[in-house]
Amino acid sequence: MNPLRLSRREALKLSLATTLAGSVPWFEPLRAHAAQSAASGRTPPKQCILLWLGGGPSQAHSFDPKPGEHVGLLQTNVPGLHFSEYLPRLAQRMDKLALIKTMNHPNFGHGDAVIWMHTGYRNRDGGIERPSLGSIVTHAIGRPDAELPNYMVLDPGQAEGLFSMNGGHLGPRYNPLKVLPGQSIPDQRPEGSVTIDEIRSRASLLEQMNQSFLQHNHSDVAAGHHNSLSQALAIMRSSKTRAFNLDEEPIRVQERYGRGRMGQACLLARRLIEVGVPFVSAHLRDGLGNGWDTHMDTPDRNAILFRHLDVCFSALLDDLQARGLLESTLIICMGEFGRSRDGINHNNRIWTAVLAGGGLRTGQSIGSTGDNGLTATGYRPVSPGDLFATVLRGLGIDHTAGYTIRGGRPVDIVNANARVVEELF
Amino acid sequence: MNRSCLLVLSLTALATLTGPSRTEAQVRLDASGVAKRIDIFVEKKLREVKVTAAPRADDAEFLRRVHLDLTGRLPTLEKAAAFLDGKEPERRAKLIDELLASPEFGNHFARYWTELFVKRDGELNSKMKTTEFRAWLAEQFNKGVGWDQIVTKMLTVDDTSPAGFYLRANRLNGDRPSPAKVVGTSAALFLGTQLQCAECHNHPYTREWKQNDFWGLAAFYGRTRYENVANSKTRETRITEEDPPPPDPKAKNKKVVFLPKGGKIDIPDPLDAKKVRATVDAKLLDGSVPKLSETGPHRPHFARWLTDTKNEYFAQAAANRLWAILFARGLVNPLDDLNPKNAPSHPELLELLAEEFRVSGHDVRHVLRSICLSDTYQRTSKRTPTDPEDDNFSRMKVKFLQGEVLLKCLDQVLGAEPVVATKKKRDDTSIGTAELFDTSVYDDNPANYSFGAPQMLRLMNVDVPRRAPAAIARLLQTPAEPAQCLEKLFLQSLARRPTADESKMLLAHVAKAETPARGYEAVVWILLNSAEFVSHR
Repeated sequence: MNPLRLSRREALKLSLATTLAGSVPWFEPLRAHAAQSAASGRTPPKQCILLWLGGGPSQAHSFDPKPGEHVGLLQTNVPGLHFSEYLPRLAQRMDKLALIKTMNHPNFGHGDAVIWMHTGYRNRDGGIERPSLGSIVTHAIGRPDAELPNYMVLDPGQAEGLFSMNGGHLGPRYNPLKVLPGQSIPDQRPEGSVTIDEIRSRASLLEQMNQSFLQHNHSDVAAGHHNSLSQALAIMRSSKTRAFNLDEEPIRVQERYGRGRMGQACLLARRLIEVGVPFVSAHLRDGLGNGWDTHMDTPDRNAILFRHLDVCFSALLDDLQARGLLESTLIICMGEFGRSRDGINHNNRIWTAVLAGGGLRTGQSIGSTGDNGLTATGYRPVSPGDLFATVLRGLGIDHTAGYTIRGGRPVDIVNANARVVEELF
Repeated sequence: MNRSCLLVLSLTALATLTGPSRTEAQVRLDASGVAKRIDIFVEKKLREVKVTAAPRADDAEFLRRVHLDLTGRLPTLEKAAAFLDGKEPERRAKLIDELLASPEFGNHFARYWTELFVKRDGELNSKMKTTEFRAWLAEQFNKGVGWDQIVTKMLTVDDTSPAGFYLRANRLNGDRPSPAKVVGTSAALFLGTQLQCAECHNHPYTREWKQNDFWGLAAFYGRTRYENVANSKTRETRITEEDPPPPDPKAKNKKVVFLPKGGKIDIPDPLDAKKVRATVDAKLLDGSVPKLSETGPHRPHFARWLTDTKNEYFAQAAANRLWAILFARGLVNPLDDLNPKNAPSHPELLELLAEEFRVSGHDVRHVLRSICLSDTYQRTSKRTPTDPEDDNFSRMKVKFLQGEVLLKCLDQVLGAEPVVATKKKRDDTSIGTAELFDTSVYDDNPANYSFGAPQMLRLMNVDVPRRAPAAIARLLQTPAEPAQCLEKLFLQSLARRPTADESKMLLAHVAKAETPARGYEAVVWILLNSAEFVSHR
């Protein structure tokens, strides 16, 4: 069975029903639908935020410090666990976090490591381009008729992982929409002298043409096109694009996240989650756009970066909880690897990934790194595939299902050897 | 013993078929005969599975389909009108010949193969310049050079020829092609086999392929490297197997490159590139060990074995791929996994096409012509919701206009967009239309529409509104009745005339518009954003 086809066909039915409803704006039936499911007491749909610390954050300066190394230690609100002095707020919220301290993959260089951590696979494993986590998730649970793109990357930067954030073999339909700092969805409004009303009247004629075409030309292509067109029109009409307008937030809220680039990305992530976007990837960096590849300039850079992270990550946890969204929103905070204990070099062999929310069993650390910070203790090394399987389980997605790609090849979602970190459930 | 005989199955039977190539006239003559045999094999299977074949496509459907399939372009307004008004019984066959003889044919297939080569490692290759290679490959296809010769040239190039793109796209990094990548890619794309699995371990499904066999092939590339061309201002490099000149004694960085003598290669440990598992000698997959000189060239031995008519996978893989390009599905799927346990849906048909390919001197056009002449290719793709889904070619599958093809088709209707040479600022991360619609690195299914809302928004709100006024101004330069203008726009974009309902609806919109120009801009917007425009059916 091809899950792709099934979902498209289902989607077509849904979209056609909406179209045939006539003059009703696109979003109203959906809103009604949402209200209905809320009223029926169903659990809210799962969503995911990836806080991406590109460049490789130093675990020794953050979530896995050791006494007498480089930084002061703070006792967290979970006995026995300590954070660095740069993370005072997060230390008070350790009960809402789960640490995996034995992350491990084989690649030392940024390029290949980014691919591991965005796709769960080695570069071109099996000779195919693998979809990113966001693409996997939105393929499984994204709504084809959503008013906003299902998968967005905030502040993506230029160089890192050109393709690894993309849809891979699922196709460009599952690529993220890239949102630059301070901007909204590109191309929402017609260019030149064409007005929105004009587009609207054209669109209704276009719908009529498409309807008669679809009647005699039933195909996945026509159905897929119909879905994308519907979504584009929905975006143009949607009030949800207001989520991009951060100025709607009171100044004190903006300040609570930090008014720098990192804080604004986290605040936008929260607003997008609130309007139902299933996967938001926020690439966190300092005001100059630099990430976490702190070589010789450590520890000063680490102090700056982690103090920013402490502020915005904490605010995000608080707000999601206050809105009742933390249980249904799984947060991942990680880079492509960690660093050597002094923070200077890359370390792909043993490093820390942080999870939060999503109904996971938080307030615990999976494994530890021994006295030297370099020895996996109390737990097996956790591979990118293991992490992906865990995250997908957390989002209610069957990671053992597969895809069928071009030429009829069956491929796995995550590596067949991947094992869920069961302790988190 | 029998470890590498898979590639030489049932060879005695084939040996009799590999006589001298037929003349082009003979091959052309034979194509309609081949088409009939294609239909016999397809219909036989349809009877077995009790599925009724769909009716023949009408002229408009065929016209647009065959243009897009063979040239990646829409028919021009004039060509479309002439074909639809034509009465000649042989006009479909004539059109196929005409398209295969047009320069666009070579360009289109060169684009297809270039994309395949680039996406073997998109992350590494996407920034490579492809223009010269594509032009070279297009020329080969247009001149009717056999596929065996084209592949041989790419595998053995030892100068600065653009054909070297293939080996450059299979580099690991730095100054030489990766022998393992060359062998893995060549096996996948030219033989349709997953030999690459044997790079790190013995092949899981095909036990006969051992790790040593894979590296035995890789050893033919053990000496291949790039060398800077002396005095080249463009930092041009050539591909060679010769020993490098001794380092300049004055140079600070005396890097001495040692090339293995006589076709040997180290098998690296897949988990630690610095460790060597073993060293093996060059050996072909049929077990033969050619006599190699100390310093090469060694690659011609590999190329000869790969493209030899005795290596039946070579023709099968190409024939299967050509079929899949037209039907969105191969006779064997995945296209790069031909193996005895993965049977073709139509074994006799695959053998027929492979045989025709071989006997015609690996003539791509002969196979395409034969398929396009068949009833199977010329069936409609029309389908109501009650028609069953079928993978036995009872009707044509709808594909979508992918990346570059889509943009070129837009250019045909809107007029090519002038190239603006503005340099991107360093912090400009906005995405251009070509990049947004780039499908070249994906492996998604051509029968599933791949674009999402961002691409739709770009067309609806930016590209079409920006470019339509100039296109409509050109249209209106020739005075014509509204119905004629509408017909022209339909022929240009959909290669058909509007139905009565469509005319009525759209002409009413034009009549209401502030100006006629504004009205036609709306029409062109509707046509280019329609499901029918992106459907390659």
